[in-house]
Amino acid sequence: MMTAVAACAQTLQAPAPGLRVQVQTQAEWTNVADVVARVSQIAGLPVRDAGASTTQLFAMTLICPDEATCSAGLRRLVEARDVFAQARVDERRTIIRPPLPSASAAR
Amino acid sequence: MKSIRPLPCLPFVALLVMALSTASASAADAARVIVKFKASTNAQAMSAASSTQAATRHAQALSQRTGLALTDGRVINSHLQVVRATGLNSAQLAARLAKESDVEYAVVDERRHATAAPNDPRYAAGQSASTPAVGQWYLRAPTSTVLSSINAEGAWTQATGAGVVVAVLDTGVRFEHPDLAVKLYPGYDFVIDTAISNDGDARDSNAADPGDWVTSAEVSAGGDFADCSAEDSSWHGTQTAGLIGAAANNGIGMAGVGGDVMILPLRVLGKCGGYDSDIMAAMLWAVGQTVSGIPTNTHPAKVLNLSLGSALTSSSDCTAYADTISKVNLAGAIVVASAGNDGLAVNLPARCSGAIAVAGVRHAGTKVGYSSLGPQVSISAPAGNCVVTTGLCQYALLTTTDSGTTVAASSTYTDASNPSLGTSFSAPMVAGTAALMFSAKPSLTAAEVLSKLKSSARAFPSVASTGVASCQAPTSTAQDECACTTTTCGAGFLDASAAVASVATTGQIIPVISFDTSTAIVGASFTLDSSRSVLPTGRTVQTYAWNIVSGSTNATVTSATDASTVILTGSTQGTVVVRLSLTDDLNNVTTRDVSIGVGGPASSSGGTTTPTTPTTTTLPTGNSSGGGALGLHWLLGLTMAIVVLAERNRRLQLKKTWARAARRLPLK
Repeated sequence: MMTAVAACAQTLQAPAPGLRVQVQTQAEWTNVADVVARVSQIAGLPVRDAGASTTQLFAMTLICPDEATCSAGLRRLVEARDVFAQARVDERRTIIRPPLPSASAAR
Repeated sequence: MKSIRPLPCLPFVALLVMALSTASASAADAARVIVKFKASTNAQAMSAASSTQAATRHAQALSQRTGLALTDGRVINSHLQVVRATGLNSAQLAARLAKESDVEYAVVDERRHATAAPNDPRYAAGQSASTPAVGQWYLRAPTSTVLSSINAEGAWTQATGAGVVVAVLDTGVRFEHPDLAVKLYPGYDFVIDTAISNDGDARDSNAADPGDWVTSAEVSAGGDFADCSAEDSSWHGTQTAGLIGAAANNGIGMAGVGGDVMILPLRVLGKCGGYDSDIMAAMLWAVGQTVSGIPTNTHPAKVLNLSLGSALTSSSDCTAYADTISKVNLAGAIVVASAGNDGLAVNLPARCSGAIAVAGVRHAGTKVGYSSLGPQVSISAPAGNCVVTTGLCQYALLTTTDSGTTVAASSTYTDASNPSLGTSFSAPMVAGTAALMFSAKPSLTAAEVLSKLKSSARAFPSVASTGVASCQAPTSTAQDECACTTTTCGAGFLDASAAVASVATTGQIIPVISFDTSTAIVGASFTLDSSRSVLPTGRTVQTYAWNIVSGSTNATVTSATDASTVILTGSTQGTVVVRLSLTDDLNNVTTRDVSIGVGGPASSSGGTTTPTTPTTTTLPTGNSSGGGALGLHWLLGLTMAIVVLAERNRRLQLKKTWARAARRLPLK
């Protein structure tokens, strides 16, 4: 039973698979929904959690089941030079993890 | 019948009485006032050979007319002279001389202290008594053993930080922390990915940190947490915000570097970090640029602190960050970023063009083992170092945090047993210093700030004097402690005092307002005290004027408003902003505002009184000049006892938490 509960918890907490990408458009786009539609159409994948940094810089998560599918979607965005000046992985940054006080590097 | 024997301590009592009498007499003997003579009188007197002779003549003439034994003191200028007397105190002498027809005014020549040490108790003693580091050691002037401390005290005598906004791009903040509550603008939450936002939604106007804990189940599930490790909430944004802007001179907790600076919390990191796109959007929004779908920022920042990053990978690319930083710089603001904690090359975005990258140094001045390094580093600042690998951390940084391991629990502080370590905490010291520089000279450009920070930095000690090898250009192997060079650790040690001095206008009065937050409660009186104000040599305060700028429904003034102190009484819970205007002898007016959170009313119970708020972490200050309400000392004593017990409990919990974390967290 505990195993079943743990498995259930893992299922519930597993985030939707995907690849976060950042695109820079050739032209200014004022409506994020329009960019989402265009990215989804070109990548051939559904999209979630879209947002704008500027009127030419947008980020969203391509929903894709595996790495190969995600990479293929991003490649199609990169190749669409007439629409996107740049398309790349939206890299993750973290808090800069503090060292443990017990580490020699923290002496 | 018992005989009465003289008490053995009587001679000591007698000596004590004699000593006190002597001290009293000395105080009377030292009556000392500054006298300004009327111009016409001075003109006559100035017919003498020199101003000194003229001043002496004034003192002699005054002696003859008043019958007081006056002696002349230092001549400040042709109108001003110090006059000394015996047999009365300074206030009496000033009052007596002010009546003379040739005297424009006479004021007490008060003693001022060159230091600007705040009254916050953890500033003086916030570490364990068994560590060599005392309180906020990293903010004091450097010594022969602590070479890297930044001398914020010296900077506080030159600038207030007022009017400057520092954006803290981090995990959000805990708005209820008593040392931050009045120092925070609302900010914004830029985390758009609902998988990591941990607050149930995407971008929103709530920059509060909901916690960033990651469970082992989430790590096992892969997806967004595949590369993460299970860990408790960090409260990282609350820690960095505290170092920059924790309220100073409020009688509780700690002091931030930036004085009166205001913090704009921008939440860009959630569980296991955040995305470049959100960070860049927040950077642009911070300086007032438009970001689609988000209301315009009404509090544009001059300084952006980014204690975040990631180590270099094959795909690392500074193009987008450099472009964003360029836009920030064009808006007149600077980007301060942590170099990294892996002992390798400077992380992204700190290494990107335009960023002020900050490396970490040990108390003794060498690069702390974990700090990243390289030619991109602009400057170095203390990052915390433990000296030993077991027991209390010897040179921990101390800042605001929360005790919750997942969601927030209670406001507290890091210290020797729960240390803040890392370049994440070096960058805020530079950010706070830059804020002071901007307040001293608002017209500074981003390039000027960087240039002044570098040119005012203190030189690293010679390699030979450190006893360790010189730092080398970064490779794929982490470098442990090494002797800093200008090509690996930047221009030198951050020197906040010298940095501010390089841009500040000299000769300004810096008003300092001290109070004790724990006394600011509904129904009680509390005192604001300006006696710590910093006066340049030869300058005197002529008038004091206190007034409430906002929040007059929350507190009212219940004393005269033209003295060096003022008493307020809390009316309702909320914030009251009080302004002090000092007019000096040259008729220059300098103002400073202070925000005070008035806590809930005291509630009576069984003959004792306890406040329902205002803080959960109040400690005794020993510096409070407040009070006034009968029973307040009683109340404070009880509060102190409660707080000490609560603190002890929290520390025990934190130790347990840290022990758990130490078992699970890998060194990154």
